[in-house]
Order: sequence, then structure tokens, then C-alpha cells
Amino acid sequence: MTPIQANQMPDLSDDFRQDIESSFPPKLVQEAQAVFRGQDTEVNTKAPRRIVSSENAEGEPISSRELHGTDHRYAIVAEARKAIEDVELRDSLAREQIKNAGIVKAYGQRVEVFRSRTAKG
Amino acid sequence: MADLLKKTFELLIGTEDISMPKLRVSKKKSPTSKPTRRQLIQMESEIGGTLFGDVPKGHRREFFNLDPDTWIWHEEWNDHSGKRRTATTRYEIHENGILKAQEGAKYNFIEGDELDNFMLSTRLYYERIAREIYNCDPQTGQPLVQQAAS
Repeated sequence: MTPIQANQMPDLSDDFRQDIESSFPPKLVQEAQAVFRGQDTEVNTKAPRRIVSSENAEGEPISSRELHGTDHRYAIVAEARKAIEDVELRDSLAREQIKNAGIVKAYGQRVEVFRSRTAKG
Repeated sequence: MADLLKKTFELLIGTEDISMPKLRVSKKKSPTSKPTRRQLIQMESEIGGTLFGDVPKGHRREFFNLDPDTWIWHEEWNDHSGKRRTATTRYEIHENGILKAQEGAKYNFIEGDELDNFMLSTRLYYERIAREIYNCDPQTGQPLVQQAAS
């Protein structure tokens, strides 16, 4: 059901248009406006991509009940936790690499000192 | 050079006695008796080659620190047909890790067991050469003889 819009009645005088609009029950007008706002919102503001897909393993959309169900929440939390752990592991490995490189470099520098003290020239 | 120093002393002090013993001591510590850097690396490499267990017969293994940022592993052996084979691996120390470079292979940062083994090898290498070649305490870097005396 599409509400009649004043601008769709160009052949009507302004006074008459206002009369017609004012004759609509206010509740109906509000509902009509809400429908239009809702459509606009849907078109313009798509929900951001979730970490967990809103589809099941077979690619079928998950119902709202399933989406907000306990199992699905667990899946979202588990996946987010795994992602965080992966990042932490990568950070930890990177820190370990940096630390080890520093240790080996220090050995090399000490060896260099020994050689400088001992070698000819 | 010694004569020049002696004459300088004579001109300054007027005696010969003071200058002679000093010149003799300095002759004993003459830089010519010191090993070259290359010789030191060779000595270190002999120790480095033994860090990984016995070297099989016909194999030659070297492991040494070339400079603060580079470690070298080199191995030579004869294959079944008696042809001499060699493999050289260079480990480059970068700020963000230890890069391994081999002939015909991709560069990659070492990790896991390989990294653990490399860390252990470099530590053993450092500790052994410090004591056995440079006669120094690996922890302090100070000469071992002086430490024992003090």
C-alpha cells in the first residue's frame, strides 16, 4: 500500500491539497511515513559484515531465532576469541623473533670485541 | 723503529738503562705474534663444526660467526658417485628475525625447532670460543686468568 503523496497531485491547488492531506487520519499518515523511512534506511544503511556469516553451513540464511540463539552466540564468541588468539600468537612469535635476533646479534658483537682485542692490526 | 725510540729516550733522559728493558718487553708483545682475524675465524670455525655432534668420515663441517650480523654453516662431503658436494647456509641477523639464505632456496625467517637449534648453537659457540680461544669468561668478557688471580 503506497500512501498518496501531495507532490503526486500537481494539478490540485495548494489549498485543496492541504485539505486532502489533513483529512487523512494522523495515524495513517504516520504509518505511511514510517514505511517510507524504513525503506530508505534499508537501502542506505546495510548492516556491516559480521565475523560469523548469517548463513548456515549449507548456505541457507539463518533464522532470526537461530541467529540470536545460544549456539550461534557461542559460535560468534568462539570465532572472535580464535581470531584474537591468532593475532596474539602472531604478536608473540614476532616478539620472540625480535628477542632472539637481539640475543644472537649480541653474541656476534661480543665475538667481534674478542677478535679486535686479539687479532693483529 | 726500536733504534729511533732508543735515541729519543737518550736525548730526553740521557741514559741508556731505562730504555732497553722496556723495548725488550715491547718486542715480546709485538703485533707480529698475534693471529690474524682470518686465523681467529678459522680457529672458531673448528670449534663451531663440532657443536653438532660427530662429523661423519669424509665430511667437513664449519660453523662460524662471520660478523655481528652473519653466521655461516658450511658442509662438504662426497656423494655416492664420489663427487664432492657442498652446502652453504647463511644466517642473517635482522632486527625482526633471523633470515636463512641457501643456494637455490627462498629466503625465510627461521622458526620453531630450527630457530631453537640455531639459538642453542650460537650460545654454545660463543661460550666455547670465549673460553677456549680468547681465554675469557663468556658472562663478563673478562680474561679468565685475571679473574682467578683477583
